[in-house]
Amino acid sequence: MSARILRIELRRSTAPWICLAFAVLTLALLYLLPGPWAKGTGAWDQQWQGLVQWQRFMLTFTWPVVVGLGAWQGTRQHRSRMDEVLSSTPRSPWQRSATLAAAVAIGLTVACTAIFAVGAAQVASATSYFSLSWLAVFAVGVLALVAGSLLGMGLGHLLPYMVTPPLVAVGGYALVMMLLNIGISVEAGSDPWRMKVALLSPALDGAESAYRLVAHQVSLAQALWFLGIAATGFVLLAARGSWTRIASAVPGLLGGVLAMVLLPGQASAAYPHDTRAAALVCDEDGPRVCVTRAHEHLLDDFAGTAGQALAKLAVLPEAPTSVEEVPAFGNEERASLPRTADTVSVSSDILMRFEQSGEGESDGGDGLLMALLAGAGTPACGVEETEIPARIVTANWLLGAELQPMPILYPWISEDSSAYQEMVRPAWETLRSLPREEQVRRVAAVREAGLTCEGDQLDLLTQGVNPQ
Amino acid sequence: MRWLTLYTRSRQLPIALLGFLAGAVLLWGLTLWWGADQTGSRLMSVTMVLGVAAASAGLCGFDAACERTASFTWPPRRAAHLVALAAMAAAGPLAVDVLADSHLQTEAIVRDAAGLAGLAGVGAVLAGGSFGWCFPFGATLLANVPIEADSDALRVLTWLVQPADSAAAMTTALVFAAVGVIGYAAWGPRPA
Repeated sequence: MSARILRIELRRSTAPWICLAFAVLTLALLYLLPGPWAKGTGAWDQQWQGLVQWQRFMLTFTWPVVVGLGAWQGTRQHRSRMDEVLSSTPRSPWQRSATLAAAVAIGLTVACTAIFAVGAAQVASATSYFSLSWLAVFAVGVLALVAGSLLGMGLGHLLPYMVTPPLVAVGGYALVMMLLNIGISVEAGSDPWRMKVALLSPALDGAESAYRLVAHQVSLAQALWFLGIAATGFVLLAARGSWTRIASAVPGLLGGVLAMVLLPGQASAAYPHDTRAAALVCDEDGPRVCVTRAHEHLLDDFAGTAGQALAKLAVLPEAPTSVEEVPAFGNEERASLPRTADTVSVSSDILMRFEQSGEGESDGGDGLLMALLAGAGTPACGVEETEIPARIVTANWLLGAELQPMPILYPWISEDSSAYQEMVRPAWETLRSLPREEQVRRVAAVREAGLTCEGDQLDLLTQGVNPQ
Repeated sequence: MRWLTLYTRSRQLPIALLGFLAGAVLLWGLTLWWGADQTGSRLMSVTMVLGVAAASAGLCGFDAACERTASFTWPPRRAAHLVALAAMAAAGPLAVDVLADSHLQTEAIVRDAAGLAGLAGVGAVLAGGSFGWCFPFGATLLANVPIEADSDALRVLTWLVQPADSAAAMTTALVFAAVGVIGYAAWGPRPA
């Protein structure tokens, strides 16, 4: 009997429409808009963790829609004047609500899984790194959606007016946006309650890199919070008496309190470093070339390019002998990149950018080679404007071909740009007009400056010394 | 006067007013709490759509078929309704701008209010009272997706949060406003 009712609810309630709207909206945003989810090492189509975390991020926009449509479902019984008929049936409203809730929950789970499957088809071909760290994040996402739709249905049943669905949807959206803004304002060492409150949102921060996880503590606390919300919504949906309705706030409040106790108060504890994905995997045939485990599938191709780069760098005194990928944990760590004389460090972001743009473009491999040679094999210090022209000139000099810009790394310095005409080309011509030994000495001096992040690299190229 | 009272009640304008008021108070409170730098046009669009969405549920009466038989001309009244909505939507953020010295631009506030009210009209014509609010709400959702609007197509998509000097955004808002007012005045809400 109840299986038959469930089948009917699956077809005739808003469940299929909620799920369709949710899945279409999420996929449309992911595919049609050039957002941060398609960039960086943690892009939604590059890593499993990134896929699930960006799917959670999208709840910022889709969760309020689900809540609003749920609220419309909640008002339906009253609008179609079914209240009296239904109250005369022997089946209790709890059973009826449970069937409806089950239908919506099944639909939302299917929709989430479908979105995940679309992403998984891309991720599976993009990376060889796999761990199950995303599973809890995914499950909490489904739970948050089910809780949201139940809360919407409960509120719609409580206030069966036409104005309820829009108010609930926009109210939910305003709430999520507020939590998002609070989350953005969190800095290291700020009040723990800020981070805790921000983590009450159904959405999570998107995966900016492939080397961050979501702590299980966060997933556990959020699971309790959304279970509470789901219980509140369900009681609101099924309850008839006003005392039961007042009591329905208890599970939600309880979940909220438990979550606030359990949630970590610092961003670094909520999104810890993924040391397993960041561990180095090395190719020891020939010169030592290492990439992080998350990029293990790139190692074979990258080892070839890295070997060429090391061969080109060998003209310099004290040339480096190995190449290592440095997992980019974030922009703030750029200044503290390791700068050792025997290793060329390349950040994961740069490696990924060439991997993403390399296909289809003829100079993908050459571009990566130049990126490795830029600054004579040193990471950018990222402080002065003159550094980039010097990096372009040194990369070209080591490559030993005609001067060319580096469009993938520095798209704003094209051949027509003023920086190229006024800084890059003159420096290139000055350097090339010198005797060979002086050229080597100046490029080596740039390498020295790049390893210490002291001195003006462009002055070193054009004048040979730093003017004091 | 009596007609106006009855009309206001049938269109649930008190609820819409409450929505606009709540949005303005929220914007004001957050501007005071977070400071003017943190509360830009994105937040403004979210607080504005609170009232607009509530008002779009009221753009349909309780019985459209019955109202059509009334012996007065609906189009100017419907148009006036939408214009009043736009004015109410703009009033809140404008007042907040005076009270709290936020960094909101007056042109952007007026543009967003006119565009959102127009979209509410479009929604009422196409989707009726139950789902008409999806139009202004959807526009707000899209505008707040964190993308860099570096092409005209993207600026049209995120017109709500563009700076006041963006021609693409201004054109989009004016088109929505015109289509909404004309469409809603001419055809009226879709019968439930």
